[in-house]
Amino acid sequence: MNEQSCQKIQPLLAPFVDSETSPQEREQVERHLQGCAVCQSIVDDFAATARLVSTLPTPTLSAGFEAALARRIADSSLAPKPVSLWNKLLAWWEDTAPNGVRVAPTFAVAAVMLLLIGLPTTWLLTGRNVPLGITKQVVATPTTDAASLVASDPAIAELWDEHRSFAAAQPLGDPAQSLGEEN
Amino acid sequence: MLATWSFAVTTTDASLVSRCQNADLTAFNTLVSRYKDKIYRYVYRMTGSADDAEDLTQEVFVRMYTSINGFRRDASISTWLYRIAGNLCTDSFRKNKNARFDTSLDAPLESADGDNAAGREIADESNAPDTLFGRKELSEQIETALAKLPPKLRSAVILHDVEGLAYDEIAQTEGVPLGTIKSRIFNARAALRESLKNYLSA
Ligand SMILES: [Zn+2]
Repeated sequence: MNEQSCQKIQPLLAPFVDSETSPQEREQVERHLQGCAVCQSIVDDFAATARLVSTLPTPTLSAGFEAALARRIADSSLAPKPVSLWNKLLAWWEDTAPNGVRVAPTFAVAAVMLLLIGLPTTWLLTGRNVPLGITKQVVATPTTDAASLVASDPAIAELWDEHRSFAAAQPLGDPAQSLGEEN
Repeated sequence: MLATWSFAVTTTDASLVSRCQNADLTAFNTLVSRYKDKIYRYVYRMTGSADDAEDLTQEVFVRMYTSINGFRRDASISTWLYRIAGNLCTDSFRKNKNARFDTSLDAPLESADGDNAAGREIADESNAPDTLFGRKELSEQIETALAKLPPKLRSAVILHDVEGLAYDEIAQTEGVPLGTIKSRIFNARAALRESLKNYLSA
């Protein structure tokens, strides 16, 4: 197999191992694997990493967890915060709008708000509330550009850079470090 | 009494959420007992510390209660809880980063290049070809490998391999496109493949 076809197939290897490919993608990967030992070994190793991670033992919460939490809720007289006007509008839109139009509730409601309250306020509210609306839209994004997925993902490179820059300062698994001390 | 009890057992998340929105503490407690172990397991795998994980898990449910009116019915409550948990983990990593600059010496497992002296020592000891690994040692190697991943890659792979979420559920939890989750999991597996190369065929 030439390197180019491997590069094209590799972004599909994790979804392939995790049964997250379309039938066409699966067939494409299977065809490639028949002639490529390199990618086959990646598939085997990826499957092995998934198996290893899934065998980690399940930790157990301390017995007093629920009682402590219930006490905390009761003692501090916490109560659910009331629904904001924004959330009411979003909920109203979800309930009333026909299915096909519901794809962009955030933007539709934002338009209403724009008229009602004016740009500055809308900007603030949208900034705080946009993520859920966005999620709904982007989940449906087609991933036909699978070939460029990994190679051209600057966000991942950024994650690694950011991680390296402070990795040494965040000691995972260090029992000496407790949140309680921070608070 | 019995009727109430058997009703509670089969109560859906949606109706528990509605009751929770009206400050019903019984409904809150039912949601807690339904999801506490999953959330704890996720946070524990993210932080690697039992104490931190228990505190953070408490915080997740306090936030769930106070923000329950912000919960949107188009998501599942578990996805929403994982999301709160993930955000709290990220916050705590940030806090720890700022508060403790000198902890790297206490925590040799977490190194920038994954190849510091302590890391090598552990690897050499366990890499001897004829050594039989106990379950515990193997788990420690896996935990170390997970700890070396950037938190967002770690989160994606834990949500998939440990919590059993599908890619689209992970995308919803993290609030990013499906394609981003595909590449995060690819990168996480590629890194784990490297760190765990001596244990893959076992
Ligand atoms: Zn190949």
